[in-house]
Amino acid sequence: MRQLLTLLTTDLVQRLRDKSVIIFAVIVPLALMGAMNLVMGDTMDMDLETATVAVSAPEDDQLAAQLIGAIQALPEGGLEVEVTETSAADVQALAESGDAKLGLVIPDGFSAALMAGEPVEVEAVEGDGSGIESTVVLSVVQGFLDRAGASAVAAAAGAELGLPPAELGGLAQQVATGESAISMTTGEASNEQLDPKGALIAGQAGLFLMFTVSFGVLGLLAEREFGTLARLRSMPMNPHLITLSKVLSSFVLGVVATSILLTAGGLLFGVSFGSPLAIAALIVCAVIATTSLTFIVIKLAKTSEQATVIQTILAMVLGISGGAFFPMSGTGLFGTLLDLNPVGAMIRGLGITSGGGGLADIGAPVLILLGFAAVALVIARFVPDRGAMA
Amino acid sequence: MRAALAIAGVELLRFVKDKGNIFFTFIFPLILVFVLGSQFGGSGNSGRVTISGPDSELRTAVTEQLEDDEVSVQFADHDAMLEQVARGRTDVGLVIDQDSVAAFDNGSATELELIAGNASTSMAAQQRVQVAVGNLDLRQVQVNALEGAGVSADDAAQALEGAAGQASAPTLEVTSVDQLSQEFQGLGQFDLGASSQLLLFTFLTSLAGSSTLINARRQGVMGRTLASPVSTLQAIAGQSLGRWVIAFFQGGYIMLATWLLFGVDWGNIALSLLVLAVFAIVAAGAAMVLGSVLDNEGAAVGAGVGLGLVLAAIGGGMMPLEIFPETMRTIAHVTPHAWGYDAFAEIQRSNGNLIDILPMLGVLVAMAVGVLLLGTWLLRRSLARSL
Amino acid sequence: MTQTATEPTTTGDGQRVLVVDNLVRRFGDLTAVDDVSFTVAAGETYGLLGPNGAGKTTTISMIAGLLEPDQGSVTLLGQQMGPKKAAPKRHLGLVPQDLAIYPDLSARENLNFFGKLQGLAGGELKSRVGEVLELTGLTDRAKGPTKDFSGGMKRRLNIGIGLLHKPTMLILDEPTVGVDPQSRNAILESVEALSDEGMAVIYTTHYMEEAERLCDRIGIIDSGTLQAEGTRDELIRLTGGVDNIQLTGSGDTAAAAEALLALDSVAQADAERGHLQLTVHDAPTAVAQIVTTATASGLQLSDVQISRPNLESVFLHLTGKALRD
Repeated sequence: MRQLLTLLTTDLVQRLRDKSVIIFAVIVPLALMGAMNLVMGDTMDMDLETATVAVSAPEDDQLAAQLIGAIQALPEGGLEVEVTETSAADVQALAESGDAKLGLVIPDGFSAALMAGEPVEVEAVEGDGSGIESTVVLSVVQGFLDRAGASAVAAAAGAELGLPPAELGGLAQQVATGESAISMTTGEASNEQLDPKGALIAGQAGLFLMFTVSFGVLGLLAEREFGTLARLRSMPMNPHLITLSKVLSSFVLGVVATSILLTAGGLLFGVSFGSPLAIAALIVCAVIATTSLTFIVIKLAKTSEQATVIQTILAMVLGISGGAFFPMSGTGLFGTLLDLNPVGAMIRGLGITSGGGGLADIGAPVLILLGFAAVALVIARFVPDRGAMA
Repeated sequence: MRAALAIAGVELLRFVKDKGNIFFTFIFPLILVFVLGSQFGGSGNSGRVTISGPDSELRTAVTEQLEDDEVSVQFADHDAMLEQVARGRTDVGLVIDQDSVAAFDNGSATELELIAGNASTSMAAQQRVQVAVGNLDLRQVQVNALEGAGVSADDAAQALEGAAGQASAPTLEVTSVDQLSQEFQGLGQFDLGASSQLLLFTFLTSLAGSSTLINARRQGVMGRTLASPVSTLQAIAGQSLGRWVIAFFQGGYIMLATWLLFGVDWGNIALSLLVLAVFAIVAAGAAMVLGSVLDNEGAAVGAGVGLGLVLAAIGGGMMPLEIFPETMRTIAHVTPHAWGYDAFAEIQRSNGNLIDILPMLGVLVAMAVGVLLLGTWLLRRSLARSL
Repeated sequence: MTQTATEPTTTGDGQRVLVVDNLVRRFGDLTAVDDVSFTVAAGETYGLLGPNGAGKTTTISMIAGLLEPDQGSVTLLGQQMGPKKAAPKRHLGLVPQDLAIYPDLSARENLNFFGKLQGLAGGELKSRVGEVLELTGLTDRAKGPTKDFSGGMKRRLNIGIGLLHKPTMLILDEPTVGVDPQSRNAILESVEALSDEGMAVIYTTHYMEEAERLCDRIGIIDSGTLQAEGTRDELIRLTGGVDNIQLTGSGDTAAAAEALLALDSVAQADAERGHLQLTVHDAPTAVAQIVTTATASGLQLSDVQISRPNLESVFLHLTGKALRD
């Protein structure tokens, strides 16, 4: 035990003196987070803005007024709306300048044409910088038009059936406002998502964790290059302690670096990941999972170049598919495979904790991480040894 | 010149002999182009809805309505649906249970549960589901209204059928003046990703390759080269040429492979290659600078990869420059990536000619001269310093 | 197979520290070490002399417990040695052929680290580290990272680490390869001193001068087999134990040859133009009489060269090839 501790501390001292660990484990990921945060600053701010809508509508047109009313009723659904009525020419200008996210041109004679079943077209112009907000408004307009079309058809059918013209208006109104037999209630699902900034931090932390843990293997190969491996094996101790100390060194570096990245990233970009205890559990499990991969690398890599290459391939493949740069989603087998990814599982777990989940809620990602570690160890057991300890 | 060519040849040979380079130079960029293209590129997404509940007429009707609206619909059991919503893998969950199905089949009122995801992006999908569900029994609403006016249900249905056939439904015509969407109009699914990955990787590989320069200094190869009748300038030209050939080769490979595999449109090939060639000079020069400043191969690889990624992130190699905030977009142009990006954008999207890309080329050439001079000076100095 | 000149002699107090018994190690088709046996006693320096690739380092690796032998055994102080045997390794100090020190750590940190692994602690560790630093002349440079050391300093530290825990058995694997003459002499002197203190030493080398100077007994190894072993003189006797004297001068060499052959000490005398080649028993004793006799028979001597057989000749005699092939 004392020997293991000696091996571990000496290894850690050397890792810290060789600056590449600090560069790879902390500086590069923080720099990347910073750079990506800078360039994506606005796009990552996902709070909905006020939907500014410029509308040109014919005066005293009943249905046009109702359409505008439907748009203005949107705040009930959670979206702030600001409607400006203006001329058709201005609508285009406002949209182009970005002052209106959406421009709507309702043609003259809108109501009359609609009720007569004549072709009528509402023009919508998505303005500069338009996004979700204008999509929502467009959907409202589409819904309104569907309804209005249906009421026109009903009125036409009424006329066909010889209903008195006086009743037709009421009939149309009834269809336009009639309650559908199918109504909607809203239910709730728990929130297990990170906001974009949180996902960025967690993703980079996960990706670079893969690099950080590789320094243990590199340390083992360095022992061989320094010639110290032979000397260590002549020491009065179990030779497995040498490998074990490197794995522990990876583990310690991984835990420390990931903790630094999540804490510093959280502070710098104002993200809270939730319960510290649950986060700590996730970090430890994620480090166990990624460190277990190094057992395979130890068996495969003969030189530090080879180890770097294998580890980088693993890091990039698992990092990207795990959502280190952008969320990956898939269905079926592909989705399941994505779920089993340690980087993905860590991001998922952090999503749960940031949504308020505690230790009890992160069972799934923790099991995935530990399962991944177990599988990696089994594979490592059966991979023929041609690496550092061969 | 012959000496410089000999040195460049050896550098290229050393590069090709390192098997690890095969993955990073030739395979990895393509994987990224593919992943980026399949996740982001292509047709716009109008939201994702996951429906839970048994297969039924109601479910089919809702699905049709949603898909008409270009919403992508998938089915899952209740728990899986909840998980998808919670994890943001779908925007909206919709529960169509047995009771609702039965109610829908016999025309009585029912309620569907809509579960909205937490992300603000789910709002659009919510609205679409509202509209789709509201439209489901429009015909029934019409019939009800006519019945209220004293018409028999059968007459009403028949008359509605006829009226619907004659009337044209009002339409909504959407155009966009959003600069972003206009900018990207006509870009193939993989086009944007391909040019950014081209810039990212040629530069990153070149920077990481600076370790071979350090290695050459450490092994005394540089010293031996200079001891032979080769001037410092020739030696440096050879090293830069070696790096340039590698960068240009990799870039050319990415262009060819993305064109063959993903049908990426590189516009005017000659101009694209010219941009690549000039950009590769900057990359080679930057590698010389890095390889002269640092004395440790490991640190050079680390710094090369780190710097390569950060510069690419700032310069539009990861996210399109167009979505950058205004100030960041200005700052981005300290990187050669941003100028390369602009030049490729001009060629790929607007069929730009040589005159159009001349400003970008000019800046890149100036940068190339700058880093090469700096690299030469630093390398000369570093040779005087022992390792 | 092994030609033993005499029964294994044990010098000093005669206690056997190390017993190497019929070691065999194969790598694929190649038998790197083939049935090697020898013993080393306390205070004895045992040399393993052989060219590069003879199997010296493989033998050492099995003795130091780095490699598992395919057959045979190594016993150190009565304990079986092997890769997983911690106990006997406490008595063993290994100085690997290549440097085995951490470049990013200082000399003191290197010593502290390996000392702790050897089981030293507290005041004992501290005083031993101080002593070794003194011994290797690195006290002044104890704090700087060893990557800044000169080649000689690194070599001295490399050896110092092996001495840290005062091992009963010290193994030095070609410690002087690539070392400048001055450092080399210092290393040889320190090995002599350690042997005088009673340490058992195995010293591998392909320099016969070192083996002659240091080793009480020498094993000559080639192609994985121990060709012969014994003291230097015992080994030389294997060659027949005759010396050569070459006389150069003017005069009647044929007459001189005849006069010299009459001497008891001269076994053979061949006259060439201007030279006389003599095969002699015990040249140092006989040379005076030979010079007198030659001069008396009218030879005007301008040069006398004595050459005695060395380990080089032994190796040539045993294997038919030169040591430095």
